[in-house]
Amino acid sequence: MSRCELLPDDVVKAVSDIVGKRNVTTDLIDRISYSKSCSVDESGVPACIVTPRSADEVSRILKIANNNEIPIFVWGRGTAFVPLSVPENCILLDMANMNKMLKVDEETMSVTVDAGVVWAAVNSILRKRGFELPVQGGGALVSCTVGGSIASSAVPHGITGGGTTGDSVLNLEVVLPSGETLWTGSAANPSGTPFERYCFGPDLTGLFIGSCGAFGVITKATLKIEKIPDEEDFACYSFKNYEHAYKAALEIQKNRLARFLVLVQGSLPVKAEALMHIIVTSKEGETAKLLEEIRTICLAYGGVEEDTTGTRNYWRSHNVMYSWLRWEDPKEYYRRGDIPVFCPEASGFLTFSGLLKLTKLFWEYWSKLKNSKYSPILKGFDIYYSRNGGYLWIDILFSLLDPGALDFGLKVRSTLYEMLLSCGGAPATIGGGEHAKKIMSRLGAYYRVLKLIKRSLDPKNILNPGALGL
Amino acid sequence: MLDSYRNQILRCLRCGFCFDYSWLGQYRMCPVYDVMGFESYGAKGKLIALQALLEGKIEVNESLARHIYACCDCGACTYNCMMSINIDTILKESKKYLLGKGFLPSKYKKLISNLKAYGNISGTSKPSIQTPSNTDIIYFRGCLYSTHLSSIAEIQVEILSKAGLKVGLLEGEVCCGYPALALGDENLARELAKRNLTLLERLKGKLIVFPCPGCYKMFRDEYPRLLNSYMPNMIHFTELLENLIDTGRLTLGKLETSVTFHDPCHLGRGLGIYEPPRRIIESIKGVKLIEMDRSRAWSYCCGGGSALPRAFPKLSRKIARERIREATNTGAEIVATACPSCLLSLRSATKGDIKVKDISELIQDSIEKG
Repeated sequence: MSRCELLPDDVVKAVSDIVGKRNVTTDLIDRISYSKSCSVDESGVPACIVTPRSADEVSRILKIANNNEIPIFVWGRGTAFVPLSVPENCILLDMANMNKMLKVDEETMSVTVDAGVVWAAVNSILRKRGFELPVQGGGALVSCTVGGSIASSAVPHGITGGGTTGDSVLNLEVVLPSGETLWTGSAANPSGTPFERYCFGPDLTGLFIGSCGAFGVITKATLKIEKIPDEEDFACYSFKNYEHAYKAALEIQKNRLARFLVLVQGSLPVKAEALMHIIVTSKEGETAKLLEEIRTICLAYGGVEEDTTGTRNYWRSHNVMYSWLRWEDPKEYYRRGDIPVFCPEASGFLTFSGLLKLTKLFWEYWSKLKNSKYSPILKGFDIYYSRNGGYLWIDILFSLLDPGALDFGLKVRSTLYEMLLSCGGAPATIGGGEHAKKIMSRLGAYYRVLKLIKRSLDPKNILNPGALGL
Repeated sequence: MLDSYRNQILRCLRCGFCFDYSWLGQYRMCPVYDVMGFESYGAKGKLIALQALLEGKIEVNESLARHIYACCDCGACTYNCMMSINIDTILKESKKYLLGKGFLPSKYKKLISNLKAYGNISGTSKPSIQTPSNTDIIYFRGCLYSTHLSSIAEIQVEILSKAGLKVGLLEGEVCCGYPALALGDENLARELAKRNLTLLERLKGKLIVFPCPGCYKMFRDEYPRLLNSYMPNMIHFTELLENLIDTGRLTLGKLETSVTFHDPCHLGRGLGIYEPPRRIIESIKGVKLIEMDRSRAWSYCCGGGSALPRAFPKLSRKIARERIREATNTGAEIVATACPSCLLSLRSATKGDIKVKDISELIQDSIEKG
């Protein structure tokens, strides 16, 4: 390990003493690779990367950081599309090596894992035992970590029937900025185990879900598990009119017919305004009935039955790929020839009526935007239907080679968020920096309370400073 | 030239799909990242560093060279990249750039000088041989089967002879050039390729059999790029063996054992040869083939690729140890492979927990015991 110019030698030595020399680096080549995530936003270069293996190690590092007022940034895999804002010269905790699958409890139907374990790894191990997770983190489920997805409240595949990422969390082990470690829910009882979230007063688990690491470092998580359903089947319908598609989706949701319901618009493989993918799971002998009910609803709204190969591939691919939602090969999906592109994604939850309102606004906006000098490409205006509405994300691609496109793309993202919020929308993942501040500062007392909590838990503002705009 | 890959480097989405085989279980995909633990050692991190280099944010130095050269060239990242980035090509080009700037890690310098002076990686003069004129096929030994594993080469030639083939070695054979190419010395690789092709041109019409998938891949994929020249008919040893068994020219005996097959990266992902070695193993009566979780296109490297053991022996051994652990977990008695680098690497890592054999040794055992 080379000498670090950015942190005092005694701090680097103290951290090395905790985790071992080979788990700490101050080498610029190592550090620079943590300065970029899936987000296009500028981020700082950490001073030091540490790969802890236990909550105890995390706790001791946080104490050192507090004593020396050094910012800490907690890193899962950096797969979120929102700005992470890694602080310049921070100590970055790369949690991905804290990745043990700790306990499958068939009595409480739960699994307890280290925060750095990858979602798909947990699910593949569970499936060998006849179980599965209700949902698996975010879109990058083959690489994103459980802790990272919970902290960023990533929206998972399967949300329609399985709920959000947070819904599947029972208890969390969290190291607070002070270095103190706590278990939430039933596991807070020194004689208890992690099995029930809503007990001992308020839902502290919820405080850390979507906190973007502002309030503590998630080090372990206990998640719900389910038996693998007996049957799984697929349906796909195209709609000439998106409003009809929305009404069909609402009808399907009201009757709780689908495990997962996805509606895509833009760059479709068929001549239609919307393409609906439906995944149905059930006990033995029940899928046919569910699919028939769905068929009746879709046909009543003018839906046309389509081939389900894309739906099947999307749901069953080892690395679930959005491209199959448009019947495209994954390898080609984000390509624009050999030109590198970036995607200033905007996303959030909306009610059914909010979705209708925003869709109308968006298509009006897009009719002007598509002719801008930066030649944007609309790769997706897609909705994952949730239990109470839908989660919309808008993917517009711009060339990284166009001077000025980056600034323009980020302005487009701001405009889209304005639109989303004006329609009553609610972003799931907030991220950090000015982007987060802009969103959160609209929330009045809600934001003030979060600030108070932050100040109380992290008076020196060392942990993920800027996350949630705090 | 590295600059010509700028667009591909920028295409990286940083999704991290080059890190894990999570859909198979709690497994890493990139062996170097697996051991080193920092993202900078995986493809994603290396592409970010190269982007920073192209943007002038970092300078070429020994650390950058250490990160770029710490690679098994297993191709798993390229195979699984959702953005279709030719990561392995970019890393080879980066090594060429680093070598040109004088940043070849010192432990590789001896290997390069051996190739220049002796035409092989070990730096030894080989006894001169003559290619008989009446041969059916030419057996291209490659560096490792000529030296460290010459006894395996003898077994392989004996098996082919038992099947009635007249086998000859290539007089004047030199290294295929892959190690030079993998380390960034493309000129040396081209020179070695030219020497081999000149020899083979005199033997036009003969089938060349390669026991080493690295040599075969070099001939098949890189020689046409490096030289616009005559290309011989080629086959891998396992493909030929499968054919000899199918056509009844080679009869195998019986072995009561269980075997797991380690797919060499260059044989599997590189050449697309997955089934022949499995069919050979299953042709041996009494042998039970058990697959590892990471197999076929999703195989995990043995740590021996791209001459990694020369400059990064500890890293290489830890990777090999991880593969041995996975092979042992299948419950098989033997892990078989069909590549000299894999054989040496896995043998160096086994602690007696599982036997490591070349697929030809299994054949020989079955013939002797059957």
